[in-house]
Parts: sequence; C-alpha cells; structure tokens
Amino acid sequence: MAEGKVARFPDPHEFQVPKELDGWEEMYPSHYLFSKERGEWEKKQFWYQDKIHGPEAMPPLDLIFHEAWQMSLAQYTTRVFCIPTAQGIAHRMVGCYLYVTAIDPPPPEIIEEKAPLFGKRAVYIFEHYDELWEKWLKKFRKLGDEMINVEIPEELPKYVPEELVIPEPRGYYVTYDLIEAFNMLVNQMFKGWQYHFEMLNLTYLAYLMFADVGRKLFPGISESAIAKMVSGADVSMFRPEAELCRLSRLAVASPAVGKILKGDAPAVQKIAELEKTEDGNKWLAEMENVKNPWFYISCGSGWFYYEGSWLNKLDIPFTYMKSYVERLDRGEKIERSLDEISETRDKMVTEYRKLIKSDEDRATFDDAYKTVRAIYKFAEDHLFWVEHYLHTIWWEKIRGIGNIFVQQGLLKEVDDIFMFNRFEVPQMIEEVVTGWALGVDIPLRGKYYMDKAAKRKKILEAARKWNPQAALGVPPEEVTEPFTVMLWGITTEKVTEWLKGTAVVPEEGTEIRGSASSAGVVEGTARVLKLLEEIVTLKEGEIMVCPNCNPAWAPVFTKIKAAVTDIGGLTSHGAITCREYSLPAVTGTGIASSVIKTGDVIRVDGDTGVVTILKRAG
Amino acid sequence: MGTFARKFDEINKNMAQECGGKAAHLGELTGLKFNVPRGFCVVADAFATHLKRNNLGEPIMEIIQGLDYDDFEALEQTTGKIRSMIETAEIPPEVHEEIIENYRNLLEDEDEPYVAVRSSVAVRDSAISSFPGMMDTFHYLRGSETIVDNVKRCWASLWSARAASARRKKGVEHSKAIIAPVVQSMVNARSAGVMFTLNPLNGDLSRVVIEGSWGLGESVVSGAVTPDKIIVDKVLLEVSERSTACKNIECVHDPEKGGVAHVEVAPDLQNKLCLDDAEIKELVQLAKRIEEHYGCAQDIEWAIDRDFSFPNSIFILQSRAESVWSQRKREPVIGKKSGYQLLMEKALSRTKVKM
Repeated sequence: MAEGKVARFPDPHEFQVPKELDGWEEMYPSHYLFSKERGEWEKKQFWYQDKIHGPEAMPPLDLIFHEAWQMSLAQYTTRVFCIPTAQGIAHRMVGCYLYVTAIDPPPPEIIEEKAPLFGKRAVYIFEHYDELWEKWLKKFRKLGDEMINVEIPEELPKYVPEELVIPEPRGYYVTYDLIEAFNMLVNQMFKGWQYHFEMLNLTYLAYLMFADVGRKLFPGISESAIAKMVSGADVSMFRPEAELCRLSRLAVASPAVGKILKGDAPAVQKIAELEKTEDGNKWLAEMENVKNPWFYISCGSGWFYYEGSWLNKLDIPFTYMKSYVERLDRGEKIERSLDEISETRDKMVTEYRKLIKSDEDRATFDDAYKTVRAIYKFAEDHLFWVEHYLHTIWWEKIRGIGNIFVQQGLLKEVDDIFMFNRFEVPQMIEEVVTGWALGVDIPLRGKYYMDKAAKRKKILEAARKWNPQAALGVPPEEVTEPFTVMLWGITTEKVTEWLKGTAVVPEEGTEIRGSASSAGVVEGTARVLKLLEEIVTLKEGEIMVCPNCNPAWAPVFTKIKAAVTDIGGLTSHGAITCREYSLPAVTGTGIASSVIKTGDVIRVDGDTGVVTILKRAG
Repeated sequence: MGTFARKFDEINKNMAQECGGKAAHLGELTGLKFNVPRGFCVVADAFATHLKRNNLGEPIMEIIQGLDYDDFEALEQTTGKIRSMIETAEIPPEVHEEIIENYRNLLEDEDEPYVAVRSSVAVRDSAISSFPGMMDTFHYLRGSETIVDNVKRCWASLWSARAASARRKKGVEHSKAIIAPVVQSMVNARSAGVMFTLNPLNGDLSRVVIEGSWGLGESVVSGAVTPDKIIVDKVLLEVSERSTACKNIECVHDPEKGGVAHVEVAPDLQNKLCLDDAEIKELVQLAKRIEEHYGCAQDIEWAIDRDFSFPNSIFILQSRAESVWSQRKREPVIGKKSGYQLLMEKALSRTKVKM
C-alpha cells in the first residue's frame, strides 16, 4: 500500500443502505446498531459482513443465536480461558446484515496477566478432554430434553380445565405459562450457546497451532491437507445420514417396506401405507426412535427459521431413503466406511511424518498432532448439537407461540413471529394473555403487529436483493482472534479483493474465488440449488452450486461432479464430503450461487479455489 | 556381454566408473522395470581404446597445456582442435562392430530405429558422475554409420569448451574424465521435461515439482521456453500449484534435414498445459518410487511418447540425485517442543495480516 494513503472501507457511521430498506433499524435491539455514543471506537474497527453465520438478511427473532454467540465466544476467549492476545468479536447490524469485528489485542499488562491463567486452564482441558466431552454431551442432551419438554399450550382455553383447580388450584395459569415458556426458551438457547464454546476456542487454537507446525515443516502444504490430517471419521454431523442408511437397510430386509419406500408418493402417504402392516409399523417405530435427535437437522445452515429441518420436511429424508433403497437393490454399498476413512488419514499422516528429516522435528510434530487430535473432535461434534439439534427444537417451540398469536388475531401466519425480535415477543405475549384474561370481546393491536410484520417482510425482501457492502471501516494490521482466522479466513487476499469492490459481472471468463477445499479440476453444467427441495431437479453429472450444504444434503454427492458453495471453509461439511468422494470443491466463494445460473458451463478448480464461468446459459 | 557395449539390462547403479552416471542409473531403472527407452552404453573402455589406438592421449594433453581458460576464443579454438582429432580418427573396428551389432538388435521389430546418442560421464576414482548440460546429446539418428559417427561426436563433446572449463573449475583432471555414450531408442515426445522430488526453491520434501513443455525436453533444459510448472503434494498426489506458461517453441524431429528443429507451437496449444491430470499423477508416482529406491531426492527427466497410449507413453529418461538441497545438512526447523509449548506460543503470537 502506498505510504500515507490508507486504504479503507466506508465509515460505518456515514454508510447509507438503499432506500428500500428504510426502517430496518427498528427490527433489531439497540445495542446492535452503530451509535453516536460508541462512535469513536466503532469508526476505528474493521467490520466485515459475516457470511458464515449471517449470509442472508436477518429475520429479527433469528438474531437471538447471534446475540448468544457474541457474548459466549468472547467470554471464553477473554475471561474463561484467557487466550492472552485475543479479545472477542463484536457485532453490528447494517441494513439487515450481520457485521462483525475482531477486537484488537489488549494492552501488554493484560496479556501478561492472562498468560499463566491460559497455561493452566487450557492444558487442563486438553488433558481431560475425553471425560469432559462425555459430561458435555450429557448436559447438552439434558438441555435439549428440557427444551423439548417446555409446554406451549395448543390454545388459550375458554376456561381453565377443572383438574388445575380441583382438588387444589395450581396457583398459576396459562397467562403465566406462556410468559414462562418463552422466557425458558430464551434462557435455554443462551445456555446452549454458552456450552457451544466450552471447548471450541481451544480447539481452533490447537488447529492453528498444528497448521503452523505443518507449514513450517512443509512450506507448500495445503490447508486441505492439514484439515484432512486433523479431521475424524466418526463425526456426529454424519450421524443423521448414517441413520438413514441403517433405516434403508432395515426396509430392504422387509420387502414390503422397501417397496413402499421406493415409491413416488409423498412421505405422509408412505407413512399411512406403512401403518397398515405389521412390518411397516415396526419400521416406523424404529424411525421414531431415530428422530430424536437425528432428524433434528436443518435443511440449510441451521441459522434461519425458514430453512426447515428433516423433522418438518419429512419428504427430504424419505427421498434420500428412496434412493438408498434403490442403490441397495442394485447391490451398491451406501454407508461411509469409517474404518477406511480413518485408515486413509493415518496412512497420510505417517507419510508426511516420514518426510521429516530431523528427529527433533519429528518428535515435535508427533506431540503437536497428539495435542490437536485430543480435542479436535469437539469442532466436528458440537455443530450438530447446537446449530442443528437445539435450533430445530427451538423453532418448533416458537412456532407453538406463533400459533397462539394467529389464533388470537395478533398475526396472520405462524412464521410471522420471526419478524419480531426477542425483546418484542414478550410484549406480544403479554398483550395476548392479558387480552384473554380480561374477558371476552377485548380488542388487541392485531393490525399494528400485522402491518409491522408485513413491512418487515418487505424490508427483508429488499435486503435480499441488495448486495451488501463486504466491509466497513479500517482494515487491521494484524488479526489475533482464532475464529477470525479459522472460520472466516480473513486473509490479505480476501481484504484486498473486497477493497477492489465486490461488483462481479457474470460473463464468460468471470472468475469467482473461494477456498480450495477438495482437489481436482472438472468442467460441467451448473445446477444452482437455493433450497434443499430443489434437489429433485439435480441431474447426474451436474456441478452443484449452493449457498451452503450440510449433512442433510449428503446423498447428492453420489450424483454430482463437483460442488461450489457460498459459505464454508475447509472443515465445512461440503468440503469434508467432497474430499471423501474425491469430488473437486470450492467453498466460501461468497457469491457463486447468485452469480452463476443453472445451465452455465463452469470450471471448478479445487486445487486453486477458482471457479470460472466458461459459457453462460442461453 | 560385449567388451565395448553393454545393454541397459546388464548395467546397474554401481557401474558409473565403467558406464558413466547416466547409463548406470538408466540401467538401474531398467532393472527395476521402470519404463526406460531401450538402449545400450558404449563403455568407457571404448573411448579409451579409441584414444590409444589412434595415439591421441598424449597429443591432447600437450595441446591443452598452458591454455588460458578465461580466453574464450583460445579455449574454443583449442578444444575444437581436440574434438576434431577425436572425430576424424578412425574408430577401432571391434568397437565399430559392437556398436552396430547392438544398434541393429536394439528393437525386435526394427533394424534401423531412430535413436538418441547421449553422453554418460564420470570421473575416475571420484563420486562425481554427471556434468549436467556440459556434453552434447544428438536426437533422431538413424542408420549404422550415422550412429557410429555420433558416438564419436559424443566422445568429442567431452572436450566442448564448456565441459573443459567446468572440469578446470571443479579441479577435475582432464585425464580422469570418463565418457561412455548411451545409444537409446528415440522417444517421440509429445511433451517432456524434468521433475524434482522436492521443491528446489525451498527444499520442501512434501512436493514434487514438474516442469514440462511441448516436444523434446531440450527446450526446457536449454531454457528456450518457459515451461509449465506443476507442484504436487507428494503424499496426497494433489496439485497445489499449476502455472501454464506460453510455450511458443518446441523441439521436434526434422524429417527433412534429420535431427531436430525448433518450431513454432500451434497457437491453440501454446497456452495449454502440456500434461493432463492422469499423466501428472503417474509422473509423481514414478518420481516417488524412484526417490524411495535411491533413498534421496531425485532430479528426473521424463517424456511422453505420442505413439504409445497412457500409461505406457510415460518414459523416464534420466534420474540423478538432486544436487542442491540434498547436500545441505538438514537442521531442525522447529526443534524439540511439546504440543502445549507450541499452543502457548500460538496463544501469545499475533497473526499478521499484511496490508
């Protein structure tokens, strides 16, 4: 950069979002907005749009997850494990999009103070990881059960049932129940996100440490090689898919069940058919066993209520099982071979190890590897439990409250509840239950809320059409916060690209850059899938282009030639799966699914992370 | 087994003193069943006999005495004289006979195949077994007498100006220089080049670096074109860098004049990678096997023959120990540290993002 000329992004305080987004500010809590009081500090930071966790315009109620992780992530870094040079990641909303900033390191005396605390606490966690993980899983399952058991009344009864009055009045009734239910759901979500970071920060730190060791020993080693060495085979994110494989095998063992699953009827109809036979019922019982927790998996990223889950979109797991049963009929193997994956990884680590010439370096490599492997499983396992399992339960419960709002005339549609942030929902509950308590023919401010919901939906729609500014403020000289490096992969190249501007004109020859997540180069026809339901349109041998993909998408990988995603790094599910199936993948492009159109002929270079549009669809 | 010529399958890596380094390794690789073009070596004794029979040894040493190696013109003139002495002298009939016999028996199905005559050198009582690029190679030769003439030319190239001054610089006595030309079936190269079993830029042992261009490898070795460069992870066999150069010139057979010519590459090929993925993978696997056999990093010449189908199209033309990094003592890069120590260092470090 030329001296004296500071390249920077627009000042967040002066930045203007498009007019169509007017009114967006009222959708989010006040501490999420840029503000005069904090202006001096805010202007000095480097804010970038968080495409990993908030890739799309943010529905106000879904912001709760981000509220929860902002405080929890930072708390573990700064006050629990006391990572000496790192501080937290602060959030702001700009025009319905989430922006984040990694805060500068603390002053030297704080770093010095934190170092011994970190040393003691971090080492303890590494040394006790296995037992701690057992405990973690237990308490997380308990939390999930508690949330599942939160009772949301199906309706506000005309009169409270007698058993709640006689022989002994319960003492509190549905007005309180609903208030408590929402409060509990909020608390449980915050608690879940506290658990989320219990060991994650240390896991990422260990990963970065091992990556450094790898790069020092082998300057040319790729990120994906490091990721492959560290990653495990038996990961809970893959469990839902494994359960579908198991259910499919069960179905094949009983031909009548298999036949129904192979049919083209929708899931509901298939279930009705199955209920008619003994074998069918047995199989259905098995599926019910599996559902909790393994169907609590989002069809998208796990961050947005509208993505749906296997639980409420049963057609998706049933479509997969149809194809599994068909493949079993053809004598194909459908399961991932965990042993094979582990063996391949171990062999690879042995080979790299053999290339180290000095005994000292080899010993260091061994210990660094042991250290990262001791904890890395957490990075792979927590994702299912928090972003998928807990979020899915939460949305189902919240919809229960939305249902009451609709019944009472406060909202038009159940999902309109997501148009209100978590501080607004209690007011709505209060109005509804108070109105109910006051007696009959009590007016509510239904129109006010319905108008608000309609207006916010319009703003979100406009925000979706807007290509948000990639970054705001002043780029940093250094980044010390482990998540920033690992998750968002903030690198010189990325920031430079942002500085150049983000307006990508899609034409022949246009190059889109992302992470080289799975090696190989192929050319082929693109199929852009914005929603999981569109999977039925996918044809054998196409290149899948999607905002992001997760295990719910797993069965498509046997059909496609390569994958391109907007979001996700090397350890994202799409990347892991592509590596397993030896398909080239470029992940985290930010824009591929909006720039590329179905039918475009594209080249995916998984070695260099570049996607090129070769021919535009006619 | 003849006195003056040995087939590749009669040669192994320990025979550099007799056959020169290149032939020794080609023999070794042939024995290991690598795809090496058929060939034989006109052993060092043949040249020695040629000198002796023609009484050239002493006159050459006399001519070279007192030569000023920095006077380029004088050097060229003096060595030229020596070369012509070697080339014009009559080759001993028994050597002549053995060369022709081996040539005609080189391939089962062809009496007079196209061959290359390549130098294979060593230094008597020394571990030096190559002078890369110092001696001459002749391509697309055909016919018994042509082969014999070119063996003589190859002998004479021991006295190319650059070879003579290289020996001088390295302190190698001229009288100890050994040359044992290789006569080898010609690869009709579509693409060719070299590869290293480490990254020559930083010594990274986890990489194989391939450089290649269209046609014969001469254009790469001589620097006539900027070659394509492909860096591959040795463990995963994944390409980590692939740079396609504009290769406007290639070295190919010149059927009219004989030998080779540098010609313009077809425009649509100039900016096309000269290897496909399967070929890259196969080359890397070959490189790994060769390196493993020798137990040290290798510098390998390869070519892809357009007349054969993959993988039989891939030929190994030479392999020798990589000379730069292999000779350095490997110091520990990190040193002895525990995982927790490294973790603490990481936690205290600041990851720089350069702006």
